[in-house]
Amino acid sequence: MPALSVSQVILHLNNLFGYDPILSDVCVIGEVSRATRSASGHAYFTLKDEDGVLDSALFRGGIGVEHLELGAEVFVFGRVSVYGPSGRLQLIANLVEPAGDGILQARFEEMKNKLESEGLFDRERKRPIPSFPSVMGIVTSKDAAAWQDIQQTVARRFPRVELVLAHTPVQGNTAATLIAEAINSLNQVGGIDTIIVARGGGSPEDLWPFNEEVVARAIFASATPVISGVGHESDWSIADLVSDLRASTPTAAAELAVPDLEELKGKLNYYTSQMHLYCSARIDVGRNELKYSVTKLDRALPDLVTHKIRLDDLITRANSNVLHKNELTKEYLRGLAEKMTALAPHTTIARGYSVLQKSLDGKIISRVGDIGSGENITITVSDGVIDAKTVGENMGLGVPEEHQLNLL
Amino acid sequence: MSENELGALSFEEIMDELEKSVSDLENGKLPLSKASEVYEKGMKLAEEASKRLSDTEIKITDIKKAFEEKIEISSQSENDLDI
Repeated sequence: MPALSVSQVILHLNNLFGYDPILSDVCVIGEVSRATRSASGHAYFTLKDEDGVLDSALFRGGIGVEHLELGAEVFVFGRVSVYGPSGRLQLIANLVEPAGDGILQARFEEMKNKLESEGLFDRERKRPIPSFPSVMGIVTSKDAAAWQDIQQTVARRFPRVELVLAHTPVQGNTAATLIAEAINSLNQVGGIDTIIVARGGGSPEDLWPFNEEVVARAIFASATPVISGVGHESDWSIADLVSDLRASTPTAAAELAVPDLEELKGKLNYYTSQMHLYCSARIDVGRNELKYSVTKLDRALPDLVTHKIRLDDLITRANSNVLHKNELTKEYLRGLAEKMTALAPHTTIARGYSVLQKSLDGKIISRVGDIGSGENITITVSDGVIDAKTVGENMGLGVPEEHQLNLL
Repeated sequence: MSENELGALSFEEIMDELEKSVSDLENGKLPLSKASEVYEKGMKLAEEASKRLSDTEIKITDIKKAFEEKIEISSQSENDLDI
């Protein structure tokens, strides 16, 4: 058997590995236990699990170098070979992916199911967020961009609010407990209208504290309504599910927590102009009602003009009636006068009749018996009086003319 | 609505009241005298609301300070009790 050189052994091994369906294209899961980067951009790291270690390299241009953090659980895709200069077995990687995602995802689902079954996410439990808070409690790190974002957003939209910061680390092992404590202490301060629990974007590991049970319980127990603003748009945490309102980012949480001052001023203007409008419309209606009433009142009044005309007519008729009556009366009077004139004695006398009177007492002698024989009488004629004396006997009517009283 | 009554209302209550005044007027069924009363009240509310909005000072405290204040207040009241 010919002796092989060291290089030949290594070459042979590498050939075997190259043809091996598993080792030539493998996915290894392990924890990063050591990681260095060379000046040329290659990354060297060690993968380990409970029983072994595996040297690994991710050359420049490989994908996922950012996941090579100490303690991180990763999937490494690549091939296994022996590195000649050191004679060590190594994993040549072309892709590194965080394996924690899978594990964390499973823990997330487990926690979600547990709390959901307890009713922590119930829609009916969600409390309304005050529209106009005076004091807001902010749970985040004072050094975090989230805190800056919230302050700026509040200052821009609604600066008449007081922010009470409950500073807490928002990542790392102790974060969850401290976040929960911060929520509790804000509830003890009193007078706080809304609490925002916030953290900017980060890796699933960074955001993990917001998936911890202790945080969920603290949010659930909070007497003050809680808005969560954790991570980015697509990140949903347990804290988001249990909070009263979920915002996608800290900035969005601040926007949901306070109204927009300009918008409010606009609303106020709108309200006042609407009130002007409605009120003047109401006055117009009142005016029209009044006009209508006056018209109705006018109609209800007696028709004076007609009455006046009628009155005029009556007066005219009365007047003409009276005149006519006068005329008639005058006519009548004239007739009477004429009659009287016709009957007057002197008229008769003028026509040739005469009046006989006893001289003794002036009595008119109209009958034979009125006078005896030998009595003095006066005879009135048209132009004077004649004194005379009766002779002879008195005769009744129907006696011949010659037997009638002879006058001297 | 008196100054005191207005002062006792929260901003939210003022806006709610104002909104109610507007919708009462909008309804148009109020007698004229009542409408002018509502109008007057609404204008007072709007004035108060905009007065409150003009106060634009953001105040920031941290929880420690808030707690200190709270402790101060509670120890104060304990002292009061002693007396």
